[in-house]
Amino acid sequence: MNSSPNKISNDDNPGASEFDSLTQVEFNQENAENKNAEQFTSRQLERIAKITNRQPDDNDVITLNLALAYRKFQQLRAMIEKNDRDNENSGTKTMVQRGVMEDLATAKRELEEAMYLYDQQFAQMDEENSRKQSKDSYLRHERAESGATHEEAGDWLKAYQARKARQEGYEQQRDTRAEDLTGKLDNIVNGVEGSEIFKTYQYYKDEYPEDPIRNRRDGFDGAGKKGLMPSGVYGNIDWKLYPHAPAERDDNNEPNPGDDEPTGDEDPDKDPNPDPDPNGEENPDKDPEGDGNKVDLDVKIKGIEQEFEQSRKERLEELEGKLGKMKPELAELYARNRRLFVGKANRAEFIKVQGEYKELMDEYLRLKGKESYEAGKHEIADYLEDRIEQLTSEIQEKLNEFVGGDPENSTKTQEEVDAEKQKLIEEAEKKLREEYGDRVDALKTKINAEFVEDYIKEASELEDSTIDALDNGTLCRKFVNKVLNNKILKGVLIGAGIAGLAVTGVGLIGGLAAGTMSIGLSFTAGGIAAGAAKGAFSGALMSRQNSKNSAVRGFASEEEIRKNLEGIDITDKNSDTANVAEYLMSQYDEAKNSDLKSNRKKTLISAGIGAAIGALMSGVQINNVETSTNEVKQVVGNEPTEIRAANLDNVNIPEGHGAYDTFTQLGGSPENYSKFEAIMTNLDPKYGLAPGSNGEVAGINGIVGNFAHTYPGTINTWPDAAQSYITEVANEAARQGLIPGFQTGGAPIYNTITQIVTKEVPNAFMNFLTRATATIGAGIIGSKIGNSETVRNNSDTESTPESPATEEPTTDETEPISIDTTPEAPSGEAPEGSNTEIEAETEAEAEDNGFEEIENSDLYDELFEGEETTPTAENTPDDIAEQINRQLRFREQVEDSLGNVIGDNGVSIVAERGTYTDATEFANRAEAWWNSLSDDVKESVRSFERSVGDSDLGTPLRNWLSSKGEL
Amino acid sequence: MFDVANNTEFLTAIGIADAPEDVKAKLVAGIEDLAQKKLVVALSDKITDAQAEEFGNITDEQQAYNWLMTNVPDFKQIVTDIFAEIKNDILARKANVVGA
Repeated sequence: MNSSPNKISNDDNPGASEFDSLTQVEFNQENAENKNAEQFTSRQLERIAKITNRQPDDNDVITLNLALAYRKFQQLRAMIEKNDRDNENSGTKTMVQRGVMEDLATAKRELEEAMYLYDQQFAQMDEENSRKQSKDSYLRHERAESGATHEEAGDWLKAYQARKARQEGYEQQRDTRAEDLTGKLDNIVNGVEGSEIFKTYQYYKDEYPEDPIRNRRDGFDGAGKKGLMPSGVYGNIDWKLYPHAPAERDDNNEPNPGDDEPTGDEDPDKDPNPDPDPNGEENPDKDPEGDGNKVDLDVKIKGIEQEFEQSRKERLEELEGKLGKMKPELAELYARNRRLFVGKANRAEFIKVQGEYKELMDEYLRLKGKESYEAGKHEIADYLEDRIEQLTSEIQEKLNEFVGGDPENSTKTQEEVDAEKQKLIEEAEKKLREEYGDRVDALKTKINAEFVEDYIKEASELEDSTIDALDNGTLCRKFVNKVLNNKILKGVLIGAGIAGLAVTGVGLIGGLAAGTMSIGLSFTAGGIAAGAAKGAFSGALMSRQNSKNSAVRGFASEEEIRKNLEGIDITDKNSDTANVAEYLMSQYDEAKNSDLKSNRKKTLISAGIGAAIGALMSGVQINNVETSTNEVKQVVGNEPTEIRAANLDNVNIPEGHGAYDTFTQLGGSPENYSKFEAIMTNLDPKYGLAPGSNGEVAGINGIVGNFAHTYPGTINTWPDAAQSYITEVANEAARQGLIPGFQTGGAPIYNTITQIVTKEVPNAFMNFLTRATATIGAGIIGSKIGNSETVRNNSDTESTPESPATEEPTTDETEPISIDTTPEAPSGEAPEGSNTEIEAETEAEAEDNGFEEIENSDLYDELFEGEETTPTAENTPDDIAEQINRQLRFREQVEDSLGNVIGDNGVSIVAERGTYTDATEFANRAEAWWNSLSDDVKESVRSFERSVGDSDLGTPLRNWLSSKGEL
Repeated sequence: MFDVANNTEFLTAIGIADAPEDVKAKLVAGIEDLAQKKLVVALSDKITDAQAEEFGNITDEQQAYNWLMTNVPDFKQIVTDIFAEIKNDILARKANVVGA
């Protein structure tokens, strides 16, 4: 006899139907291998808690869980009852599809678990019964059965009868309570559906998608299960609800005790009142550290990430198997769904909440309905990027320690720092290779492969738009692209993180670790500048991550932000830091009371802002500086669009299952199945089927077989006509939004007309161009010369270490540069210094950015083999510097003249991303601008445009000049 | 949002430009988030419910940005005003604290 306190044994419940086993805990435990089924309730509570920003054990969360479970159960029950009514009306006896029954059984179990959690009386009754059972005098009479005296037998019988009566009383009490609660479910659900928590849940639920119910089925195999007929369909259904505890996974994989095995609870010598929480897990010391439970976010994240890392490796291996396939473009979808992955902490925690990573990925795929190939490629790049960031941060910390935490006063020499940095970089790359093996090389060799371009583009979107916001960013980008002629190194220009894929002799790590400006600047030649010990990188990363977090949903990062603010030392109340921190905290308290989340309008606005966050980050300057635009395209139309079902290739129908399972595998929810049926009914005649047959009629006309029995397996194994049928049905369902679909076509068709240049803070561009491109140029210089030592030597001799003032860039290096392409404007004077000044900075920065290692880099050779790297034939430092200067001078003239022509008529803003309202007017203005230029400026423009070549951004100005015969 | 981290003038005005990097990053994140909340409130008064529905359903970054620029012509001024308000509130608070 199974004496677990949470079980209602059939043996003790003689009135139970033979189908009762379908609803009882023991049945769930028999299917313990279905982890999804077991852990759903706890995961669902975690999920609801995340969505509604509460704790999983919050009463409202538990109530909402109950309401959701009840609704799902009702939806499935309604399908069965409709089938019964239809049968009654038509006089037929059509069985409900097996998939529906399986989902119903799952929904019923989960509802019972939800009821159990909702009403704590069930747990108390079970515990009490268990306690009494363990003290039952009947147990001591077991041995009296054989060889017992008459008196002993009589005592045993009495004890047995007492036990039976007690058990029946307990079960009756329990059943009564269950019936009471069942009767209240409608009212409970109605109450929930008008509540704030429900509204919040509805608005944010898609951010944490629910596990599809079909993935949580109890694993009926149709054979030998009580209640199932030989066809695998339930012959009868017990609608009675038996609340029971959520099934727990047996981590020891030991079989659960059967009916006849003692469980230890029957041991009369055992403590009848055992400690229900012997490990102290349910009531832990609330403050074991005695520190007010201050959360160390970094430690927490690290722990989560370690778990994440392990499962991620497994996931990598799985994804790699798919890399050979060619799949449709996923960049757009992935970018949108990147919200799910944004932020290391959020992502790791989300994954932890969701269970193993594979489950998350499957859900992501189901949700967006695409094969994992493209996403997988991005995943791999993501993994490496994250790991590179982590390792970079570690390098930074170690370097900080190396200089004693005080770079300005450190006794270490520059050479010692460089040597240490080099050592750390090599160690980090070794570690990366140990973890990712050949993938590192695979990524390097695939630099020009499509997915890395997508990755760079997507991951650097923020930075691209930052370039766009700069003065004549297109010219800058063209120049850079021509100089470098490589998209990856464009990423180096752009800033942190992505730069890890850049060129260095030590491979990926070196490029990132050295290329990240904040680290590089910390150790410029000629002295260890301030800023090194300030954790610039981690600070910048946090800012960027939090900005990304804000983009996920309007207030998603508030919890983290609040925690971070609470961690700031505000002891000195007079300090500005404390002032700002306390001000922000007070604002959060006010915001909390303003009920923002429950206002649909504000929620929508927040979502829209979240979508625009990238452009807003770079496109809006607080001090009323106009953004700049770089491209002008006119939308002349859109490609035709079509919605197609996303999961068609994934459908794999087990034997015995039918159209319902087809629908749910396509990603449909049970409550929409009737609409899917309607689509099939509509299409049946087209395929020579009677309306309403829905493909269910076996082998009719030899076209479409019976979903239920004839064509188990993947759709591509079906006859052609059947495939056509289901494809058409599925695409229509996708068009109606019943299942996930993807849109083909629809891309705007552009007509590139010309280029516009708008106003911008000149100094920002100058600074950017000087710092970034000069650095890259110097790196190329060093390589092409073939002797990186030359660069170092030059820095030693020409860049006079004794006069650091000359060498340091004009911007304040104590400021962290979180996004390198938007440095602060210098103090009003453009650094129109001599070539020497630029050179000095160039070489100094080159050293720190790892480009001194280029000479021996196989990667560099791979990238630049046979390609021009500078606009001119000469590859000397002077030439590069002269190019830069020429562009700077040219730029000034262009902006003065064209800026006045174009003005701030708003066209520039609208046209930033491609839509220009009046092409003719603009063309006229550009014509006027061109005519206003002096001859030498025109020549500069021609020369430059001839030199930059093609780029993926389009060449509107060059096209226009070509059309004018100017090139 | 709006790249507070790199706006030296703003950070200097509220006195945290020279704060330790990790502290500054936390404060910047808080300011950005607060600004976004205020922006939501401000926009809520400026656009209709139908516009909010339209805007809220845009997922493409470019389109969302263009929508804002087109439908909220004074968007940048709103943002400027919000940051000015935050700056003034912070400075006023400081004056009160110091005065106290």
